[in-house]
Amino acid sequence: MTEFDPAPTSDDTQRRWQTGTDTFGRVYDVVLGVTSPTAYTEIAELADCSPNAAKKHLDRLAEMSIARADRDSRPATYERNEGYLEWQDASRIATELPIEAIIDRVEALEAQRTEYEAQFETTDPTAVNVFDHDSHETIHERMTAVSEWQGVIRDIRLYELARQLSQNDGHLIPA
Amino acid sequence: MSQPPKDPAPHSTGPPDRQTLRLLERHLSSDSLVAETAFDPDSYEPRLLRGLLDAGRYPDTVTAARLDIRWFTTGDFSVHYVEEHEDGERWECRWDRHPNTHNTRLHFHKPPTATEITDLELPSLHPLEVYSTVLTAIEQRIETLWSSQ
Repeated sequence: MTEFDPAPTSDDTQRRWQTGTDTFGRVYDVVLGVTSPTAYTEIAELADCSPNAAKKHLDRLAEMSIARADRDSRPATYERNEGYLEWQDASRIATELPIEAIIDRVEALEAQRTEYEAQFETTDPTAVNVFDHDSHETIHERMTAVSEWQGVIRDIRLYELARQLSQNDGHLIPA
Repeated sequence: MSQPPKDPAPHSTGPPDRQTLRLLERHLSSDSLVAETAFDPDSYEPRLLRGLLDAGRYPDTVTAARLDIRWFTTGDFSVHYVEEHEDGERWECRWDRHPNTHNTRLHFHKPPTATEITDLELPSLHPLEVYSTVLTAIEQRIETLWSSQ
C-alpha cells in the first residue's frame, strides 16, 4: 500500500473549497477565516481572483460590517469583524431561543465554569500551563479542556448579550 | 548573522474559534465525501465540528469514517480522521497545530494509530486551505483502499 500523504500537492488541493462559488462568495469565505490584518493582494491569491476584484468585494464587505478595513496601510489590509460577528451570533440566539432557555443555559455554563475552576485550582484559564509537557496526549487533553473552559466563559458573555437583546425586543438599548 | 527573535511560545490556549468552525461546517456539509455534519455540544455553542463521511464511498471493509475538527482563536487546530474497520481495528491520523516540546508547531500524527508524530509543512494555514488539503488527502486514501482490494 502506498504511504499516506498528509499534504498532497495537486491543483485540486487548493481549489476544493472553491467549487460552486462566485468571486464574491470566495472573497467572503476567505475573509471569514482571516483573524489579523491581511493585505488584499494576499486575500486575492487565496480567493483566486484579481487584486482589484478582491479589493472591490472587501470594501463592500467592510461596508456591511463583516470585514474590518485599514485603508491607510499600504497595501490596504482587511480582516473579519469579530465584534459584528459576535453580535450576529447573540442576535441569532435571542431570535431562536425563548428567554427561559437562555437563562437556563447561562446557569448550566456557570456550573461548568465552577467545575473547571475546581479541576485546575484557579479562576484564570490563561494561568494554566498547557503546552509545556513531554507527553503529547497530555498536551492535547489540557489544550482541549482549557480551550473549552475559555469557550464557556465567552459563551456566558454571549448569552448575557442575547438575554439583553431578547428583553429589549431585539434592540441593544431599551426603547 | 543572528537568528530573528522567536515569538515567545504561548503557554496557554484560546477558546474555540466559532466563526471558523461555522465556515468549515458550511463547506463540509456541501462536500461530496461528507454525509452529515454536527456541532458538539450544539450549534449555539460550537466547540467541536464533526463530519460523518459517506460510508458508501468506501470498500465494505470500512464500516464508518469521520472527521473531528477543533479550531482555536490562536490559529491552532486539530483535525482528526478516524476509520472504523470491519475487523474492529481503527485507522486514524491527525493534522495538528499547537506548541509542544518535541515537534514543530505544525505536525502530523501518522496512521494507522496516530501515535508516531512527524513535522509537517502546508502551503497555507488559512482554514479553507487546510480543509482542502485534508479532504484531498482523504480522497487519495479512499483510492488507495479501493486499489488494495
